[in-house]
Amino acid sequence: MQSELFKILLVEDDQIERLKFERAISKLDHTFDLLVAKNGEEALAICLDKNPHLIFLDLNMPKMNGLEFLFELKNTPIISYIPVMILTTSDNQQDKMEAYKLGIAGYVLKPLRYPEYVLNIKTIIDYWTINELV
Amino acid sequence: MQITDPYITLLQQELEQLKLQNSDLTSLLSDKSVLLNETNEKLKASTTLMEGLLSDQSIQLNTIVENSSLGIVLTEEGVFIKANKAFQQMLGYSQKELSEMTVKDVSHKGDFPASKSYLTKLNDGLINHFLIKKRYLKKNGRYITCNTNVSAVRDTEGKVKYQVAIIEDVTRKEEQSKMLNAINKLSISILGKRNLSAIAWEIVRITADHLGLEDCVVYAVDNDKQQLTQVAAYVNKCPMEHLIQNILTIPMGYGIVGSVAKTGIPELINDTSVDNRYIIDDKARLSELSVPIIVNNKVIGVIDSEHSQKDYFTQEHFKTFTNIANLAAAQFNNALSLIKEETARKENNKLLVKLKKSNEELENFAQVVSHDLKSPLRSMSAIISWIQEDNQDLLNPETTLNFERLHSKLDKMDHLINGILKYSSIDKINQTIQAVNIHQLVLDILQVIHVPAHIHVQIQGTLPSIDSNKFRMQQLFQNIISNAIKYIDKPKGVVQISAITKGNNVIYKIEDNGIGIEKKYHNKIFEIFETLETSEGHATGIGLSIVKKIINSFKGEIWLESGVGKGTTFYIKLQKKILDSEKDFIFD
Repeated sequence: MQSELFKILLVEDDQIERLKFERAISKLDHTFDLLVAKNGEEALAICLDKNPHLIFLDLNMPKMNGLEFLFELKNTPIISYIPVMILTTSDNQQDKMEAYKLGIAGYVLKPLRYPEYVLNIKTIIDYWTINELV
Repeated sequence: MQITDPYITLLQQELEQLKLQNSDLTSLLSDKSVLLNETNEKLKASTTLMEGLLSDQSIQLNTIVENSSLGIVLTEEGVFIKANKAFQQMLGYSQKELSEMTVKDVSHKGDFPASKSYLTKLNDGLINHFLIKKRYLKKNGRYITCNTNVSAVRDTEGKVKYQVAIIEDVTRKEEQSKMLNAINKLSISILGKRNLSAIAWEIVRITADHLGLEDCVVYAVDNDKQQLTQVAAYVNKCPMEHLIQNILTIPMGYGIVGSVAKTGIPELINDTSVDNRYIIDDKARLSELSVPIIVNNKVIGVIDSEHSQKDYFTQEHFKTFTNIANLAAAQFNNALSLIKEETARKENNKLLVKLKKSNEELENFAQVVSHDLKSPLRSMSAIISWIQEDNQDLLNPETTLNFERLHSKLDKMDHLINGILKYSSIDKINQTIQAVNIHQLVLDILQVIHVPAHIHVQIQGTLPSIDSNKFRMQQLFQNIISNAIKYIDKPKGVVQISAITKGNNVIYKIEDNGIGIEKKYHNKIFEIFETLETSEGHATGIGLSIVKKIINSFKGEIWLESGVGKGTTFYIKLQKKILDSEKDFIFD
């Protein structure tokens, strides 16, 4: 059994969205190590440094965007295994296809209402943490 | 000694006999003489008759020769002995003048070698006659082209004594065929040419070349400036491009060319020295032919030719020039309509490209905007939730309600943005056309959408399948059915869906007993963002515009019957079978 906390990396450029995420996971039963990156470049550095267990990735970001980051991640052997959940407002079919082709664990459209959002995030994290614990 | 009797008797007998014979002979002789005389008389008579007959024949022959339309001449060693009227008229010389001339005097030097070779053969007895096409010099200095048939009249020794020549003037025929040739050549060479200058150069080149003209010039008419400008000129078989460089312009109505341009009536001037309109170009020429090129009742150009001789241009020239002008006019007309067509096509293509681009821009714009709009919306929604969460105990019911209102408005905004996204991505989705089972599709839709308990949706009969795109049809029917359900205000709502097939068309009918739509809105409801004043809640005003857009892309029709309070019936007409050849155009 590992003693270290379950590490979640949130890649998100929007400050409110980051707050939203933080607030959502603070409501969960477990404690997490939340790592935050504002763009793909930062995220890649954190991945190499900290090896997060799960990544929540926004698509539309300045500098390295979500898909570009995903490409880099999946082509960097030592970190390519990290599961990635896309968390975005973009329902763009092309983006979705592209992301699935590169290899993602799931594609989640951010629900508008906050309570739904919290539920969504909880479900996903529960799934992954249970997996991790087993 | 006495002659004995028997001898005398014998002698006497002999003598008698001789006498008798003599008298026979005499009478015979005289008989013969009479006969001879008679014969002689007869001979005389017959000679007279013969002479008469001969002179009759000679007169007849002369009549034929004199009245023949062909020229007939008798020559002896190259000198005219006799020439008929036709020949005299052909060359314009009298018999007397001709009798002092030789054949050489009236022949074109260029034809000497051919003539000589034939004459040698004739003199050598190798041939008795020959046919040659040669040119004769008229008294007025002009040449005519003639087919000449020469026969030899030989003496007893076989030597050529006379030559008889039958001469046919084929100048006109030759000219006609030359002109016809010129027109044919021209019609081919200007085919496909578009601009006045290119056509003009072909006209002057071919006309001057084929008709052997001294010059040929084409002027373009500038109706705005009221003047004519030389666009092409050919002088003595040389293109006068340098001449065109110092462009000659003529005011409208000035000179013969100018007046032809003004009146649109072609003119053949036989003697320019007596026409006071004549303007001397590089040098004075005595005859002129000037023909307008008329397109759409407007003179757009003039074809002009001058010649140093008086009376040079014939009616054939006139006709030919007129034909050439007509030909050019037709070509210009063609060219004009081609240019118009091409311009229109280019313009169309430009518009299409522009449209495509603006469509793409709209799509991108919508994508970007919707993302950018959604983010703050999400943030606002989250922040409002936090305020609510963090101050749960402090909020009075009114404030809580206001927060709910805020959420509801944010929801509506989110809906709108999603609607824009859907509308803008209509052209993006899979575009395969195949048979779509509309009946099953509607059943599936009814499973997915929320149908309140008080509303009953009925499908009458089986809805026919059509060639279409499944995704689009789903969007279409889902929008229409949701719309019908959404606006039902009765305690017992009914939505009836049915269809009829008419030829290759299927008309789907979706009837509800809802609030109905005022007539003045019947067209408006298909416009984007149009929701009627009475609508509440989640109406984005995008649904029906999506419906319309889909129907348009399948070249279908949509219309409705409705009255306020009476409910609404939508009719959707779509093609049952779409030909493969038409499929490509659906999403264009």
